[in-house]
Amino acid sequence: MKRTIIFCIISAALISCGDEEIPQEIVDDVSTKVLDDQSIERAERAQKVFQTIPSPYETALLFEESGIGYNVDALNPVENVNKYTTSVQQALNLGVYGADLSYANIHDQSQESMFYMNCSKKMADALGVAGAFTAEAIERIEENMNNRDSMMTIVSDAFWTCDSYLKENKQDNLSALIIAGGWLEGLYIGTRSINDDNPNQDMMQRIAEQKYSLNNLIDLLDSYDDDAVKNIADQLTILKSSFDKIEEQESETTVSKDDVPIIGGGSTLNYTPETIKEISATIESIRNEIIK
Amino acid sequence: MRLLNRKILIVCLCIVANAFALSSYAQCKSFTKKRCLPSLAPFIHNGQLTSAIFNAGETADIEMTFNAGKEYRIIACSQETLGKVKFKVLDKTRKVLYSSEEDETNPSWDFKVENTQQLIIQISVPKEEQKNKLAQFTQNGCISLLVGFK
Repeated sequence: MKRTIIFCIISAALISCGDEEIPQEIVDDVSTKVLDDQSIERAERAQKVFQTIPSPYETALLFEESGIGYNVDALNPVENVNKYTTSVQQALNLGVYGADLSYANIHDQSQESMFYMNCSKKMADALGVAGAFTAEAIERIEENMNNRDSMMTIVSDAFWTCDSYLKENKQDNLSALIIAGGWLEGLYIGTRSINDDNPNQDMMQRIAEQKYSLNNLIDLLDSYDDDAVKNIADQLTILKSSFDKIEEQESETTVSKDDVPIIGGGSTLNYTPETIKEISATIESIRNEIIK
Repeated sequence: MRLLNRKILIVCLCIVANAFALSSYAQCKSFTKKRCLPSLAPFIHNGQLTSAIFNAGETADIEMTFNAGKEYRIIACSQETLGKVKFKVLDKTRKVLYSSEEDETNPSWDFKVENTQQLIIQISVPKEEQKNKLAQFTQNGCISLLVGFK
Protein backbone atom coordinates (compact mmCIF):
# COMPACT_ATOMS: atom_id res chain seq x y z
CA MET A 1 0.00 0.00 0.00
CA LYS A 2 2.86 2.33 0.83
CA ARG A 3 4.15 1.78 -2.68
CA THR A 4 0.75 2.76 -4.11
CA ILE A 5 0.71 6.01 -2.16
CA ILE A 6 4.27 6.85 -3.17
CA PHE A 7 3.40 6.11 -6.81
CA CYS A 8 0.36 8.41 -6.63
CA ILE A 9 2.31 11.26 -5.04
CA ILE A 10 5.13 11.01 -7.57
CA SER A 11 2.62 10.87 -10.44
CA ALA A 12 0.79 13.94 -9.17
CA ALA A 13 4.03 15.83 -8.65
CA LEU A 14 5.27 14.97 -12.13
CA ILE A 15 2.03 15.94 -13.82
CA SER A 16 1.52 19.13 -11.79
CA CYS A 17 4.79 20.79 -12.82
CA GLY A 18 2.78 22.80 -15.33
CA ASP A 19 4.90 25.81 -16.05
CA GLU A 20 8.11 23.89 -16.51
CA GLU A 21 8.98 22.31 -19.82
CA ILE A 22 7.61 18.78 -19.92
CA PRO A 23 10.01 16.16 -21.26
CA GLN A 24 8.81 14.72 -24.56
CA GLU A 25 8.73 11.17 -23.20
CA ILE A 26 6.32 12.24 -20.45
CA VAL A 27 4.16 14.16 -22.94
CA ASP A 28 4.07 11.09 -25.17
CA ASP A 29 3.11 8.95 -22.20
CA VAL A 30 0.30 11.09 -20.82
CA SER A 31 -1.13 11.85 -24.25
CA THR A 32 -1.73 8.19 -25.07
CA LYS A 33 -4.75 7.18 -23.06
CA VAL A 34 -7.76 4.99 -23.20
CA LEU A 35 -10.90 6.46 -24.80
CA ASP A 36 -13.31 7.42 -22.05
CA ASP A 37 -16.26 9.75 -21.49
CA GLN A 38 -13.96 12.70 -20.92
CA SER A 39 -12.25 12.14 -24.28
CA ILE A 40 -15.57 11.90 -26.08
CA GLU A 41 -16.78 15.12 -24.46
CA ARG A 42 -13.53 16.82 -25.38
CA ALA A 43 -13.84 15.57 -28.96
CA GLU A 44 -17.29 17.14 -29.24
CA ARG A 45 -16.04 20.39 -27.76
CA ALA A 46 -13.09 20.60 -30.10
CA GLN A 47 -15.33 20.50 -33.16
CA LYS A 48 -16.49 24.03 -32.41
CA VAL A 49 -15.52 27.47 -33.54
CA PHE A 50 -12.95 29.55 -31.67
CA GLN A 51 -13.20 33.33 -31.72
CA THR A 52 -10.27 35.68 -31.59
CA ILE A 53 -10.03 39.38 -32.27
CA PRO A 54 -7.20 41.75 -33.24
CA SER A 55 -5.25 43.24 -30.33
CA PRO A 56 -5.70 46.86 -29.19
CA TYR A 57 -2.16 47.42 -30.52
CA GLU A 58 -3.21 46.47 -34.03
CA THR A 59 -6.31 48.67 -33.82
CA ALA A 60 -4.27 51.59 -32.47
CA LEU A 61 -1.78 51.21 -35.33
CA LEU A 62 -4.57 51.19 -37.92
CA PHE A 63 -6.08 54.34 -36.43
CA GLU A 64 -2.68 56.03 -36.28
CA GLU A 65 -2.09 55.24 -39.96
CA SER A 66 -5.46 56.83 -40.70
CA GLY A 67 -4.23 60.10 -39.22
CA ILE A 68 -5.49 60.00 -35.63
CA GLY A 69 -3.59 62.39 -33.33
CA TYR A 70 -2.75 61.90 -29.66
CA ASN A 71 -5.46 63.08 -27.29
CA VAL A 72 -4.76 62.34 -23.64
CA ASP A 73 -8.30 63.36 -22.71
CA ALA A 74 -9.60 60.30 -24.57
CA LEU A 75 -7.84 57.93 -22.15
CA ASN A 76 -9.08 56.49 -18.86
CA PRO A 77 -7.54 58.74 -16.17
CA VAL A 78 -4.70 57.04 -14.30
CA GLU A 79 -6.19 58.00 -10.94
CA ASN A 80 -9.25 55.84 -11.67
CA VAL A 81 -7.10 52.74 -11.12
CA ASN A 82 -7.89 52.63 -7.40
CA LYS A 83 -11.64 52.57 -8.02
CA TYR A 84 -11.71 49.07 -9.46
CA THR A 85 -12.19 46.63 -6.63
CA THR A 86 -14.08 43.68 -8.14
CA SER A 87 -12.49 41.15 -10.46
CA VAL A 88 -14.97 42.09 -13.20
CA GLN A 89 -14.00 45.79 -13.01
CA GLN A 90 -10.31 44.85 -12.84
CA ALA A 91 -10.51 42.58 -15.89
CA LEU A 92 -12.44 45.09 -18.01
CA ASN A 93 -10.11 47.93 -17.03
CA LEU A 94 -6.99 45.84 -17.54
CA GLY A 95 -8.19 45.67 -21.15
CA VAL A 96 -8.95 49.41 -21.13
CA TYR A 97 -5.56 50.38 -19.71
CA GLY A 98 -3.84 47.97 -22.10
CA ALA A 99 -5.46 49.78 -25.03
CA ASP A 100 -4.46 53.16 -23.53
CA LEU A 101 -0.90 51.89 -23.13
CA SER A 102 -0.85 50.76 -26.78
CA TYR A 103 -2.18 54.13 -27.95
CA ALA A 104 0.29 56.14 -25.83
CA ASN A 105 3.20 53.97 -26.98
CA ILE A 106 2.32 54.19 -30.66
CA HIS A 107 2.25 57.96 -30.31
CA ASP A 108 5.69 57.91 -28.62
CA GLN A 109 4.37 59.18 -25.29
CA SER A 110 7.00 57.61 -23.03
CA GLN A 111 5.82 59.05 -19.74
CA GLU A 112 2.15 58.30 -20.40
CA SER A 113 3.15 54.78 -21.48
CA MET A 114 4.83 54.21 -18.12
CA PHE A 115 1.73 55.46 -16.29
CA TYR A 116 -0.53 53.13 -18.23
CA MET A 117 1.89 50.24 -17.89
CA ASN A 118 1.73 50.72 -14.10
CA CYS A 119 -2.09 50.80 -14.22
CA SER A 120 -2.08 47.57 -16.26
CA LYS A 121 0.31 45.97 -13.78
CA LYS A 122 -1.89 47.02 -10.87
CA MET A 123 -4.97 45.47 -12.47
CA ALA A 124 -3.07 42.27 -13.40
CA ASP A 125 -1.70 41.96 -9.86
CA ALA A 126 -5.18 42.48 -8.41
CA LEU A 127 -6.41 39.60 -10.59
CA GLY A 128 -3.60 37.44 -9.23
CA VAL A 129 -1.63 37.31 -12.49
CA ALA A 130 1.78 37.92 -11.00
CA GLY A 131 3.82 36.64 -13.95
CA ALA A 132 2.63 39.19 -16.52
CA PHE A 133 4.32 42.41 -15.45
CA THR A 134 7.36 41.09 -13.62
CA ALA A 135 10.27 43.29 -12.54
CA GLU A 136 12.17 41.87 -15.52
CA ALA A 137 9.34 42.75 -17.95
CA ILE A 138 9.09 46.29 -16.56
CA GLU A 139 12.84 46.71 -16.89
CA ARG A 140 12.61 45.58 -20.53
CA ILE A 141 9.75 48.03 -21.10
CA GLU A 142 11.75 50.90 -19.60
CA GLU A 143 14.80 50.03 -21.70
CA ASN A 144 12.74 49.83 -24.91
CA MET A 145 10.37 52.71 -24.26
CA ASN A 146 11.43 54.47 -27.47
CA ASN A 147 11.44 51.34 -29.60
CA ARG A 148 7.87 50.86 -30.74
CA ASP A 149 8.27 47.33 -32.15
CA SER A 150 10.04 46.02 -29.05
CA MET A 151 7.43 47.63 -26.83
CA MET A 152 4.63 46.05 -28.86
CA THR A 153 6.23 42.62 -28.45
CA ILE A 154 6.87 43.02 -24.70
CA VAL A 155 3.38 44.34 -23.93
CA SER A 156 1.72 41.71 -26.16
CA ASP A 157 3.71 39.05 -24.28
CA ALA A 158 2.48 40.47 -20.95
CA PHE A 159 -1.15 40.34 -22.11
CA TRP A 160 -0.59 36.83 -23.50
CA THR A 161 0.64 35.80 -20.05
CA CYS A 162 -2.52 37.25 -18.45
CA ASP A 163 -4.78 35.53 -20.97
CA SER A 164 -3.07 32.15 -20.72
CA TYR A 165 -2.86 32.32 -16.90
CA LEU A 166 -6.58 33.01 -16.56
CA LYS A 167 -7.47 30.27 -19.05
CA GLU A 168 -5.12 27.87 -17.28
CA ASN A 169 -6.87 28.64 -14.01
CA LYS A 170 -10.37 28.24 -15.40
CA GLN A 171 -11.10 31.98 -15.33
CA ASP A 172 -11.74 32.30 -19.06
CA ASN A 173 -14.64 34.63 -18.25
CA LEU A 174 -12.18 37.24 -16.94
CA SER A 175 -9.98 36.70 -19.95
CA ALA A 176 -12.97 37.44 -22.22
CA LEU A 177 -13.66 40.65 -20.25
CA ILE A 178 -10.06 41.83 -20.73
CA ILE A 179 -10.45 41.32 -24.47
CA ALA A 180 -13.80 43.16 -24.46
CA GLY A 181 -12.39 46.08 -22.42
CA GLY A 182 -9.43 46.43 -24.77
CA TRP A 183 -11.55 46.32 -27.90
CA LEU A 184 -14.06 48.87 -26.56
CA GLU A 185 -11.35 51.31 -25.45
CA GLY A 186 -9.50 51.01 -28.77
CA LEU A 187 -12.66 51.78 -30.69
CA TYR A 188 -13.63 54.56 -28.27
CA ILE A 189 -10.28 56.32 -28.82
CA GLY A 190 -10.81 56.06 -32.57
CA THR A 191 -14.31 57.52 -32.43
CA ARG A 192 -13.08 60.45 -30.28
CA SER A 193 -10.95 61.61 -33.19
CA ILE A 194 -13.90 61.95 -35.56
CA ASN A 195 -14.63 65.56 -36.36
CA ASP A 196 -18.41 65.82 -36.75
CA ASP A 197 -18.18 68.69 -39.24
CA ASN A 198 -15.50 67.21 -41.44
CA PRO A 199 -15.07 63.50 -40.66
CA ASN A 200 -11.87 61.78 -41.80
CA GLN A 201 -12.89 59.18 -44.44
CA ASP A 202 -10.10 56.74 -43.53
CA MET A 203 -11.04 56.85 -39.86
CA MET A 204 -14.71 56.28 -40.62
CA GLN A 205 -13.72 53.30 -42.79
CA ARG A 206 -11.57 51.84 -39.99
CA ILE A 207 -14.38 52.30 -37.48
CA ALA A 208 -16.89 50.67 -39.84
CA GLU A 209 -14.53 47.69 -40.28
CA GLN A 210 -14.79 46.98 -36.57
CA LYS A 211 -18.16 45.45 -37.47
CA TYR A 212 -16.41 42.11 -38.09
CA SER A 213 -14.51 42.08 -34.81
CA LEU A 214 -17.66 43.05 -32.93
CA ASN A 215 -19.43 39.97 -34.29
CA ASN A 216 -16.50 37.78 -33.19
CA LEU A 217 -16.44 39.41 -29.78
CA ILE A 218 -20.17 38.89 -29.21
CA ASP A 219 -19.81 35.23 -30.24
CA LEU A 220 -16.90 34.86 -27.83
CA LEU A 221 -18.83 36.44 -24.93
CA ASP A 222 -21.96 34.42 -25.72
CA SER A 223 -20.00 31.24 -25.10
CA TYR A 224 -19.82 32.05 -21.34
CA ASP A 225 -22.55 31.39 -18.83
CA ASP A 226 -21.54 34.25 -16.56
CA ASP A 227 -23.64 37.28 -15.50
CA ALA A 228 -20.89 39.87 -15.89
CA VAL A 229 -19.96 38.57 -19.33
CA LYS A 230 -23.63 38.42 -20.35
CA ASN A 231 -24.07 42.05 -19.24
CA ILE A 232 -21.26 43.21 -21.53
CA ALA A 233 -22.57 40.99 -24.34
CA ASP A 234 -26.01 42.62 -23.98
CA GLN A 235 -24.49 46.10 -24.28
CA LEU A 236 -22.48 45.05 -27.30
CA THR A 237 -25.63 43.66 -28.89
CA ILE A 238 -27.11 47.19 -28.70
CA LEU A 239 -23.95 48.46 -30.38
CA LYS A 240 -24.33 45.74 -33.02
CA SER A 241 -27.72 47.13 -34.03
CA SER A 242 -25.91 50.34 -35.05
CA PHE A 243 -23.16 48.42 -36.86
CA ASP A 244 -25.82 46.39 -38.67
CA LYS A 245 -26.77 49.57 -40.55
CA ILE A 246 -23.45 49.23 -42.37
CA GLU A 247 -24.09 47.31 -45.57
CA GLU A 248 -21.68 44.71 -46.88
CA GLN A 249 -21.11 44.26 -50.58
CA GLU A 250 -19.52 40.96 -51.51
CA SER A 251 -17.19 40.13 -54.37
CA GLU A 252 -15.33 36.93 -55.15
CA THR A 253 -12.08 36.45 -53.25
CA THR A 254 -8.85 35.84 -55.14
CA VAL A 255 -5.26 35.11 -54.09
CA SER A 256 -2.38 36.77 -55.96
CA LYS A 257 0.89 34.99 -56.82
CA ASP A 258 3.11 37.65 -55.19
CA ASP A 259 5.97 36.70 -52.85
CA VAL A 260 3.60 37.69 -50.10
CA PRO A 261 0.20 36.67 -51.52
CA ILE A 262 -2.61 39.23 -51.34
CA ILE A 263 -6.18 38.10 -50.78
CA GLY A 264 -8.28 40.34 -53.01
CA GLY A 265 -12.04 40.86 -53.16
CA GLY A 266 -14.17 39.95 -50.20
CA SER A 267 -16.37 42.49 -48.49
CA THR A 268 -16.59 46.23 -49.01
CA LEU A 269 -18.65 48.37 -46.65
CA ASN A 270 -21.24 51.08 -47.33
CA TYR A 271 -22.19 53.44 -44.51
CA THR A 272 -23.18 57.03 -43.79
CA PRO A 273 -21.46 59.50 -41.44
CA GLU A 274 -24.67 59.42 -39.36
CA THR A 275 -24.20 55.70 -38.71
CA ILE A 276 -20.62 56.31 -37.56
CA LYS A 277 -21.88 59.09 -35.26
CA GLU A 278 -24.47 56.72 -33.83
CA ILE A 279 -21.78 54.08 -33.23
CA SER A 280 -19.58 56.72 -31.54
CA ALA A 281 -22.36 57.74 -29.17
CA THR A 282 -23.16 54.14 -28.19
CA ILE A 283 -19.48 53.28 -27.68
CA GLU A 284 -19.04 56.33 -25.45
CA SER A 285 -21.96 55.31 -23.29
CA ILE A 286 -20.75 51.69 -22.84
CA ARG A 287 -17.14 52.67 -22.24
CA ASN A 288 -17.98 55.36 -19.69
CA GLU A 289 -20.04 52.82 -17.78
CA ILE A 290 -17.03 50.48 -17.66
CA ILE A 291 -14.50 53.02 -16.39
CA LYS A 292 -16.71 54.76 -13.83
CA MET B 1 -7.49 -1.95 7.37
CA ARG B 2 -8.34 -3.05 3.80
CA LEU B 3 -11.19 -0.52 3.72
CA LEU B 4 -8.83 2.26 4.85
CA ASN B 5 -6.32 1.30 2.16
CA ARG B 6 -9.06 1.41 -0.47
CA LYS B 7 -10.09 4.92 0.67
CA ILE B 8 -6.50 6.13 0.53
CA LEU B 9 -6.17 4.68 -2.96
CA ILE B 10 -9.35 6.45 -4.13
CA VAL B 11 -8.13 9.80 -2.69
CA CYS B 12 -4.76 9.34 -4.39
CA LEU B 13 -6.43 8.55 -7.71
CA CYS B 14 -8.57 11.68 -7.38
CA ILE B 15 -5.44 13.78 -6.77
CA VAL B 16 -3.75 12.26 -9.83
CA ALA B 17 -6.86 12.79 -12.00
CA ASN B 18 -7.15 16.42 -10.90
CA ALA B 19 -3.46 17.05 -11.48
CA PHE B 20 -3.81 15.48 -14.93
CA ALA B 21 -6.72 17.80 -15.81
CA LEU B 22 -4.78 20.90 -14.75
CA SER B 23 -1.66 19.67 -16.54
CA SER B 24 -3.35 19.77 -19.95
CA TYR B 25 -3.77 23.56 -19.67
CA ALA B 26 -0.25 24.02 -18.34
CA GLN B 27 1.06 21.66 -21.01
CA CYS B 28 -0.50 23.83 -23.75
CA LYS B 29 0.66 27.12 -22.24
CA SER B 30 4.21 25.96 -21.69
CA PHE B 31 4.38 24.33 -25.13
CA THR B 32 3.07 27.47 -26.86
CA LYS B 33 5.41 29.79 -25.00
CA LYS B 34 8.55 27.76 -25.59
CA ARG B 35 8.01 26.04 -28.93
CA CYS B 36 5.57 28.25 -30.88
CA LEU B 37 5.70 31.95 -30.02
CA PRO B 38 9.38 32.36 -31.06
CA SER B 39 8.48 31.20 -34.61
CA LEU B 40 6.11 34.13 -35.01
CA ALA B 41 8.84 36.81 -34.88
CA PRO B 42 9.06 39.45 -36.32
CA PHE B 43 5.26 39.40 -36.40
CA ILE B 44 3.43 40.53 -33.25
CA HIS B 45 0.80 38.25 -31.78
CA ASN B 46 -2.56 39.49 -30.53
CA GLY B 47 -2.01 38.59 -26.87
CA GLN B 48 -4.58 35.78 -26.85
CA LEU B 49 -3.89 32.09 -26.21
CA THR B 50 -5.64 30.24 -29.02
CA SER B 51 -4.75 26.70 -28.18
CA ALA B 52 -6.41 23.53 -27.00
CA ILE B 53 -5.87 19.83 -26.53
CA PHE B 54 -6.96 17.96 -29.64
CA ASN B 55 -7.56 14.29 -30.34
CA ALA B 56 -6.61 12.53 -33.58
CA GLY B 57 -9.10 13.21 -36.39
CA GLU B 58 -10.53 16.41 -34.90
CA THR B 59 -11.04 19.71 -36.67
CA ALA B 60 -11.64 23.25 -35.44
CA ASP B 61 -12.46 26.58 -37.04
CA ILE B 62 -10.98 29.85 -35.84
CA GLU B 63 -12.71 32.99 -37.08
CA MET B 64 -10.77 36.21 -37.22
CA THR B 65 -10.74 39.64 -38.82
CA PHE B 66 -7.76 40.55 -40.98
CA ASN B 67 -7.15 44.24 -41.62
CA ALA B 68 -6.29 45.84 -44.97
CA GLY B 69 -2.75 47.22 -45.04
CA LYS B 70 -1.25 44.75 -42.55
CA GLU B 71 0.81 41.67 -43.25
CA TYR B 72 -0.07 38.51 -41.34
CA ARG B 73 1.57 35.22 -40.44
CA ILE B 74 -0.48 32.18 -39.43
CA ILE B 75 1.26 29.23 -37.73
CA ALA B 76 -0.38 25.97 -36.70
CA CYS B 77 2.01 24.72 -34.06
CA SER B 78 1.38 21.23 -32.69
CA GLN B 79 2.92 18.58 -30.48
CA GLU B 80 4.58 15.74 -32.36
CA THR B 81 2.17 13.16 -30.92
CA LEU B 82 -0.56 14.51 -33.23
CA GLY B 83 1.35 13.94 -36.47
CA LYS B 84 1.33 16.48 -39.30
CA VAL B 85 -1.42 18.95 -38.48
CA LYS B 86 -2.77 20.92 -41.46
CA PHE B 87 -4.63 24.19 -41.80
CA LYS B 88 -6.71 25.85 -44.49
CA VAL B 89 -7.68 29.48 -44.89
CA LEU B 90 -11.28 29.91 -46.05
CA ASP B 91 -13.32 32.97 -46.93
CA LYS B 92 -16.75 33.37 -45.41
CA THR B 93 -18.37 31.36 -48.21
CA ARG B 94 -15.91 28.60 -47.17
CA LYS B 95 -13.99 28.85 -50.44
CA VAL B 96 -10.45 27.54 -49.81
CA LEU B 97 -7.87 30.30 -50.29
CA TYR B 98 -4.87 28.42 -48.95
CA SER B 99 -4.08 24.89 -47.86
CA SER B 100 -0.87 23.94 -46.06
CA GLU B 101 1.36 21.15 -47.40
CA GLU B 102 0.69 17.53 -46.35
CA ASP B 103 4.11 16.86 -44.86
CA GLU B 104 4.87 20.24 -43.33
CA THR B 105 5.75 20.43 -39.63
CA ASN B 106 4.18 23.44 -37.90
CA PRO B 107 2.94 24.91 -41.22
CA SER B 108 2.81 28.67 -41.64
CA TRP B 109 1.59 31.18 -44.23
CA ASP B 110 2.35 34.89 -44.70
CA PHE B 111 -0.20 37.01 -46.58
CA LYS B 112 -1.98 40.37 -46.87
CA VAL B 113 -5.60 41.30 -47.50
CA GLU B 114 -6.80 43.94 -49.93
CA ASN B 115 -9.97 44.70 -47.96
CA THR B 116 -10.51 44.16 -44.25
CA GLN B 117 -12.41 40.90 -43.98
CA GLN B 118 -13.38 37.93 -41.92
CA LEU B 119 -11.55 34.70 -42.69
CA ILE B 120 -11.79 31.21 -41.24
CA ILE B 121 -8.72 29.19 -40.34
CA GLN B 122 -9.59 25.51 -40.29
CA ILE B 123 -7.25 23.18 -38.41
CA SER B 124 -7.36 19.43 -38.95
CA VAL B 125 -5.54 16.70 -37.06
CA PRO B 126 -4.71 13.50 -38.96
CA LYS B 127 -6.76 10.42 -38.06
CA GLU B 128 -5.03 8.06 -35.68
CA GLU B 129 -3.07 5.11 -36.94
CA GLN B 130 -4.77 1.72 -37.25
CA LYS B 131 -2.55 0.13 -34.60
CA ASN B 132 -3.74 2.64 -32.00
CA LYS B 133 -7.37 2.11 -32.99
CA LEU B 134 -7.04 -1.62 -32.41
CA ALA B 135 -5.53 -1.01 -29.01
CA GLN B 136 -8.38 1.38 -28.16
CA PHE B 137 -5.86 4.13 -27.57
CA THR B 138 -6.15 7.66 -28.82
CA GLN B 139 -3.45 10.25 -29.38
CA ASN B 140 -3.96 13.74 -28.07
CA GLY B 141 -1.82 16.81 -27.85
CA CYS B 142 -1.74 20.56 -27.90
CA ILE B 143 -2.26 22.73 -30.97
CA SER B 144 -1.63 26.46 -30.90
CA LEU B 145 -2.91 28.61 -33.70
CA LEU B 146 -0.83 31.75 -33.77
CA VAL B 147 -1.68 34.82 -35.81
CA GLY B 148 0.75 37.72 -35.90
CA PHE B 149 0.75 41.05 -37.75
CA LYS B 150 3.30 43.63 -38.78
